[in-house]
Amino acid sequence: MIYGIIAAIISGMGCGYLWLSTAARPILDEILLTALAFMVFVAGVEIGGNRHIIKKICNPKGFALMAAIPTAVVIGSLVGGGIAGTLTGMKVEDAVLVSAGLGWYSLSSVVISTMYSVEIGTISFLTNVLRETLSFALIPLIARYNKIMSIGIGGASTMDSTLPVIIKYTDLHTGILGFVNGLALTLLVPFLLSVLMPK
Amino acid sequence: MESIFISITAGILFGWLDVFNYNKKKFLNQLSTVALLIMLWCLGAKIGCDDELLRNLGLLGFRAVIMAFGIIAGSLLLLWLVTRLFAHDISQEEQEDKK
Repeated sequence: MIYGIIAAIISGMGCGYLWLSTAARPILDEILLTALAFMVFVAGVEIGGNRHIIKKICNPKGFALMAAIPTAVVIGSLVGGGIAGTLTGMKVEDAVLVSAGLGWYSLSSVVISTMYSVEIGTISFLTNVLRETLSFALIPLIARYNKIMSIGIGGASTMDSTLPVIIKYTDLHTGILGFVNGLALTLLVPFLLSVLMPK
Repeated sequence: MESIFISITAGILFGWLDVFNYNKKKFLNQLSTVALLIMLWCLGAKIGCDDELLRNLGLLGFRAVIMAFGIIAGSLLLLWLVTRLFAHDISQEEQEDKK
C-alpha cells in the first residue's frame, strides 16, 4: 500500500508537470473533494457500525485522552517547528506561524499570504502539504510501533484525508481518537493563526 | 468543508442503522482505497501542473522539509509522553479489544 501511495503522488506530479496546466486545478479540486467525501463517508460507516467503541470512548478517561492528544500535538508542532525553522535561518515568530497551520495547508497558506507575507505563506503551504503527504507514508510505519503516536503526524488532516489511513493501519478506537484530534485541531487553526500573526 | 461534515455524519448514520451488510462494507472499503489513490494522484498533479510552485519548491522547499520533520518530531515526542501518562488505560483497552 505504501508503494501504491508513493507511486500515486509521483505519477500525479509527473502527469501534472507534463500534460496539465493550472487551468486543470478546478477540475482536480472537484475530483479531490468528491474522493475525499466518499472516503470520509466510508470512514463514518465504520465508526457508526461499531457502537461499542463509541460507548467505550465516552467515559472520563476517554475524554481526558481525547483532550490530551490534540494538546500534545499543538505544543509539539509549535515547539518542534519553531526550533527546526530557526535552525534554517527563519525568524522564530515566522517558524511558529508556519507550524500553526497544523497540516491545514489550504487555509494557513492563504491566510498567511494575504495577511502577512507571501514568502512565509508559500513556506506554510509547502510545510503543511509535506506534513500531510508524509503522513500517508509515516502513519503505517509509526502505527506498528505505537498506535496513538501515529495520530500526531497528520495534524488537522486526521479528521479527513489521513483518517482512513489511520483506521486502516490501527483500529477503530484509534480512528475515533484521530477524528476527534483532527476536529479539535481544525477548530484551533484559525484561532492560533490570528493570535500568532506578527503585527 | 460542509461536504466533509455532511459525508461523515451520513456515514455514521448509515453505519449506526446497519444499512450495509458485510460484503457491501468490504466493497466500500476497496472503493475507498481506490479513492485514496485517486486523491493522492490529484494532489500530486496539482503540484506538478503549477510551474511557479515547482520553482518555489526548490527555493523554499529546503526550509519546508526541515520544518515538516521538526513539526512531526515534536508532535511524536509529546504524544509519546501522553502515551506514557495514559499507558495503563491504553494497555487495558488493548487487552479488552483482544478479548
